[in-house]
Amino acid sequence: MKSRHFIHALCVSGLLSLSTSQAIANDLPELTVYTYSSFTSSWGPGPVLKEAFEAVCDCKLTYVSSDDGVSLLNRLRLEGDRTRADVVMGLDDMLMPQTKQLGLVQQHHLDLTNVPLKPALNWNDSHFVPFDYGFFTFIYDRNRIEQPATSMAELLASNASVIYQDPRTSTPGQGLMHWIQLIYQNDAVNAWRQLSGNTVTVTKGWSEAYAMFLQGEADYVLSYTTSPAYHQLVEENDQYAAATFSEGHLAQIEVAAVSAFSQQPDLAREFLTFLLEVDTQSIIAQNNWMLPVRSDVELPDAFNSAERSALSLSPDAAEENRREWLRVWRSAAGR
Amino acid sequence: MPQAAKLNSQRYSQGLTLVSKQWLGLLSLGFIVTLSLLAFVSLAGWSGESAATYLWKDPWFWQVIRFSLWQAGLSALLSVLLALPISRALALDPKLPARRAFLRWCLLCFVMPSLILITGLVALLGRSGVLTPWLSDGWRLYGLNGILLAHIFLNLPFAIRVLTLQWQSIPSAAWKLSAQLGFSGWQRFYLVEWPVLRGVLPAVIGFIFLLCFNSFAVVLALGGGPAASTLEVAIFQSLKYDFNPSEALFLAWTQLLLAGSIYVMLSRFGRFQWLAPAQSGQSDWIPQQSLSMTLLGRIGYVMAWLYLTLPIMVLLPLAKQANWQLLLNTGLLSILSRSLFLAVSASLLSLVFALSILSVWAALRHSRWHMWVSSIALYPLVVPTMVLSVGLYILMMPYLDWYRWGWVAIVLMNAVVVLPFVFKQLHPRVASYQQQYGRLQADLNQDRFTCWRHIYLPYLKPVLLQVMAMSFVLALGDMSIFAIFGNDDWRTLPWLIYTLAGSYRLAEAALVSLLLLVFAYLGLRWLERSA
Repeated sequence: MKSRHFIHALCVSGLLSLSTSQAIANDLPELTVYTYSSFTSSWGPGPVLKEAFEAVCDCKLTYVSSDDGVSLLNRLRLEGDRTRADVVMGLDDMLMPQTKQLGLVQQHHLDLTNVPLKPALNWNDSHFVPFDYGFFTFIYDRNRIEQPATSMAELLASNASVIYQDPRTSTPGQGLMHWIQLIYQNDAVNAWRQLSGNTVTVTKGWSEAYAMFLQGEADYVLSYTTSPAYHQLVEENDQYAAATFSEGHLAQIEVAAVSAFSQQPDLAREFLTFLLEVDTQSIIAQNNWMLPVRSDVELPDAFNSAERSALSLSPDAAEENRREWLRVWRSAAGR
Repeated sequence: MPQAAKLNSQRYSQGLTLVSKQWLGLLSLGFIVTLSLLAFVSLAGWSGESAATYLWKDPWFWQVIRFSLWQAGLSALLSVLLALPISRALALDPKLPARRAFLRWCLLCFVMPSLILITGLVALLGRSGVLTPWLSDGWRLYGLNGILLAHIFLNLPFAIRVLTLQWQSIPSAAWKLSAQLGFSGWQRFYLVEWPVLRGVLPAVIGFIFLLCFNSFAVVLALGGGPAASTLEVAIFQSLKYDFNPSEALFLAWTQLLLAGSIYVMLSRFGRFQWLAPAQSGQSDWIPQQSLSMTLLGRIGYVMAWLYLTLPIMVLLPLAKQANWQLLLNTGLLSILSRSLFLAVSASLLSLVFALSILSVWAALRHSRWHMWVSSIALYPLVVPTMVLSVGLYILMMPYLDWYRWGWVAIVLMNAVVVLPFVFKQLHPRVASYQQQYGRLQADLNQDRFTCWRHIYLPYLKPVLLQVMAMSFVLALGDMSIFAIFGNDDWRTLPWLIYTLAGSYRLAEAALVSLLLLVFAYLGLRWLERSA
């Protein structure tokens, strides 16, 4: 008899947890923002932005998070017109063509002429607005590496150990794939083979890779040029530095858009405008550890060294070649 | 009425009674068949894409197949080889301490949610693991090493249980005879012990091979990159990472073909017993062992204890450092109750499936029909879980909000996946019931409900509780079904552990692993007590 009560209790508690997760607090309109999980985590910019936006919008902001940008897109395409998303935030510029083709987002109709976006971004997309950007690079520990590699070629030829992310799951990993394709083009297979000799492991996401690096498991980790700023500002630690490669660096622009199936398109547009405000840009830069897209944001000096000379890759070319490039990576890195 | 027509109408009315009395079982059968047909149809038809046959020419594809087979083969062989001396010692060395406890621990290890073990292995042998400083510089847990360590941990205990039972089944008369004839140790092994083992070894190796071939969580967590990927993980990745259904379809067919043919071969090897309650050795006559054999057995026994307990023990000190507040903030309590709710529902549902299908089975007369019914209940063994889940997911997407209803699919799919096991365990009991009470029951002419409640279920009760507990533990540890239907805001315990370990919160991962282990243990205690 005891066991029957046990099961009964379990069922009740299970049902309770099912129903509470779907409860909606009150009658305010709800804006659902799909994004990636490090954005919404307690140390990311999500919670602060939620508070700031709710203070002005007279609405309730709810985040729904996926592991990272790539799984965010996959989720959107699986959900199709049944999605609850009003705003999609955290895809990057390389994923824009695909997202538009699939009809998952709508035009924003915002006038960005009054927003002093950095000229280098050269932004004129009809659907997406940028909210931050960063350059991919390899981070190293100054105490361990006295003479850091000054080019990709030098890194590949060295016997330094490297951790990077899976290009299928994580946007930095995909960034490295594009970067290597840009530098080596038809010779990318050999570059990957060379890199696989230096690779400690390929992780699913950025945080696993970075945590392993911080524990001293590799000489270099793939990350952003802004990563040292985090150590300098939050930990007051000058130990970590970002490599500068003579071939140039690839930028990643993170973007947001209104979902094509949003029930609250006006509120969603309001959120996009909010993302581009000076204060918001400053919060994002210092919590998401990326560079602001506006040119008039005051940031600590630690951010100054994060700019690099940019290689350019058109999102359409990346889109066209993605599957082929993934295959190249998969067979070369899989030995 | 002419004879033929009379016969026909009789058959017809028999058919009607079958449908009216066995509707639940027929519904279960239909459900399972439809589910799998639709899963494949939906995979094939997704956006009109056909299977990505270009993969034939992709070296990566062959690499994945090679690796899947290679790691499964190694895991199976090593598990069985290591199990041999240990089982022999368990069966023939009466001085071994704590044998009962060991065999019970083995049972827990075999069904242990693999995420618990993975956390333990990372804490023990990962880059900053407790034992890592004593290993050579080039040691890497991620890749084949980690996969083998985990697979052997999960399957060695199973092999030990089967082989121990096998050794114990040698009658003492045979031992006595071999002693009277003055056999040497080797002769005795060859003439007395080997014939008993030979019957089960291929089946045990094959079974472990199949389990490792279809392994998901271990390879996902410990694979460490594209170099060490199995088909099951590749299917998951091509869908959830690449969103490439045509490639997933091709990989799924490949896995189905390979796993299916392995299963067919395996089913020819015969059967074995492993769930029987562990005996504490024969009370009867046991032959004298040579000193070296005894020593080998004892060393193996001690090593097995260490191997099977260290990855769990290491969690205890680690869990003490866990940040409770962080866990409570991530909603540990609701994740826990959700996990328990899903696992209990799945195991209850699989019991309903199995009982209703067995009831159809019993009502049918022809052995050909019996075979069909059994093969429907058993076929989820052959079809990779991943294939079914993915097909169902895509199929129902236009009509269902998976975000809201994913949990229903998790319960359903877990029930379907454990069904073969439940069916196999219940089948002999139901068959013997039919033999002993079938006629009696017909004579008593009670209504079905009374009969089920007062005779049938009480008769099945010991086995029912046993399989219920086992399927509960299996569903509790599920990773692969959740990987498809779950989402980040709605995690279960294993997925929480995976996320925590992924972000290097090993202490918290250890604590949650222990929690999961406690519940798995409680489930199994129930099993052993009632068996």
